[in-house]
Amino acid sequence: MKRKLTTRDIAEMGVMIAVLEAAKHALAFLPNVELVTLLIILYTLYFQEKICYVLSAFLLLEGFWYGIGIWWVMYLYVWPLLAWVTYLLRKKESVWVFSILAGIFGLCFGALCCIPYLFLGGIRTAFAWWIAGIPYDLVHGVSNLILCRALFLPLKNVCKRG
Amino acid sequence: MSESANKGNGRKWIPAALVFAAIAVIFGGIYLRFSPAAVAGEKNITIEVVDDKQETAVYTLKTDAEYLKEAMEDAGISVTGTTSEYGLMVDTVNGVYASYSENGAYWAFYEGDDYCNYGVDQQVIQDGKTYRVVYTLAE
Repeated sequence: MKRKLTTRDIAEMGVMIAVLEAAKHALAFLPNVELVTLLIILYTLYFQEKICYVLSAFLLLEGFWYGIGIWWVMYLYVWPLLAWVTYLLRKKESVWVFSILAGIFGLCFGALCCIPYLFLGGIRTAFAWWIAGIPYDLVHGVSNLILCRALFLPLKNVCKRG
Repeated sequence: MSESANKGNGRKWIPAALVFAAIAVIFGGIYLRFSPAAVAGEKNITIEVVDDKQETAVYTLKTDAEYLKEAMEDAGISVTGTTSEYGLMVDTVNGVYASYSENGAYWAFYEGDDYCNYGVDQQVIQDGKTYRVVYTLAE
């Protein structure tokens, strides 16, 4: 970040993190149905570099809340990867682009998350772990696509006011 | 990003939607091809239960069960827990309670030395295999 953070920036990021955590916990009872993907896409598009601070705080909070485990290592790269891909697509104008990005991210979530198992147990373990989760990845992908298509525009308008 | 662009944007989204659909179909196909299928008929298996005192009970049985939970019940092992979207989340085995939030412990399930990738009521059992149910303290 080139400029210094202002009090307003810090307050804004606090709200962004709170919304992210609230959305995550509110839908925790529905496996693989979440709004974190959509929010990270929106934050990257409309709050630019602040996403770096927000993601760092989000990852730390998740670690403190649920305990540091292998899942946390996965989180360290999957969410920043989503933000990075969104940043690369920031000039795209169609809501469909981001809805399908969210959908593909959901579909590939298990495949991305099995990477640590490549190092821990080898390709067989990683593959078996990924296969077991594919039904949940399909739910994740489809629900991400639908939620992003339905909520992107209204939430975008809120973000633009920020 | 303009409203008109959001609402219209021609049919540019179609290729991306096709990519999404293709990935979903390919992943579904991989799942159907490679996920372990339940096997009917009699199987000889061994189930080892390691409790909170690190004492091991060994059960060797012949069973027609297809999934580990049924096989455990056939062996006389009591298994209870809460039902979730992911299947049965086991918290009590043979009366020993493990809860990550309450006593920092959980029941871990292994097929041989490999951690089971499926819930206990979705874990397919195979003839000749050893399954281990281990009371594990979270690190």
